[in-house]
Amino acid sequence: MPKIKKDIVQTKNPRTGKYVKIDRSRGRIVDSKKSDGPYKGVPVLRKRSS
Amino acid sequence: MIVYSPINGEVLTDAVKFHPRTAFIMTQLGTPLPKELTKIRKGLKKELKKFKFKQVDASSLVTGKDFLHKIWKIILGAPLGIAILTEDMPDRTIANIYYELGMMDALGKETLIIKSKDYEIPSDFKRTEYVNFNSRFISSFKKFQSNLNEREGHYWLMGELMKADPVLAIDYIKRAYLLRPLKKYLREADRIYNKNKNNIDAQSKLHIRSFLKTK
Repeated sequence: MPKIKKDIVQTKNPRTGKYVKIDRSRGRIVDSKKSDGPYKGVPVLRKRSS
Repeated sequence: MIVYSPINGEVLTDAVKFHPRTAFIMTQLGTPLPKELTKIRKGLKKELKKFKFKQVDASSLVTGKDFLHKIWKIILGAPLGIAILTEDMPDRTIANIYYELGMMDALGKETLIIKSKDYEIPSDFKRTEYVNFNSRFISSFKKFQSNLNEREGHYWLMGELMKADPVLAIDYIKRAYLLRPLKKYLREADRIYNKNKNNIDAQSKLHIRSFLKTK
């Protein structure tokens, strides 16, 4: 089973409709998806709780 | 954030005045105006008012300075730019509009093109969102408004996710605030700033402080 990195998350950019992968520990966008749909095995964040 | 002046190429070291919920309209000004353009501006004004957005164009402010300087300052402070293009506009006007659109994209502003049915968008702007001014204009514009609301939520979330880089986090929160000026956005930006100000460079501090003064 692949190990999930806790600090790597993804969210959908509403401007492009594509997902971006973010490394929270570094405050960096590490990848932007070219095709539709989310990255496999990466938690999806949809909305900020506060 | 480093911003260069298009007038002299120097870094901006003045405070920026931010204008939440303001759309900068890029189009032909003065008279005579093409009939289609007058119709589009009238229709757009009505829809922006319903959406509680103010509109400004290059003739809205009198600064006594260079015209491009004035446009640049408006662009820096506004969250949204709307270009109106019709096929009967002079080429030099269209060139100015595309220059301003490019400037807005480079500064992370939201952009939209409203065009007459027969106007064709050049290839570099194919990714820029556009709506035709026709019988479906109101519903297309409403879809864009709803996407803008989603972008606001996205920027707020990104402000949380990018906290390891406080300058980026605050910049995302600023973009959310300019789309919807909620006090919680300012409070959160202020909190992040105060927690990290000893590690933020002078240029970014200047920009962040201008934003935190926005009411």
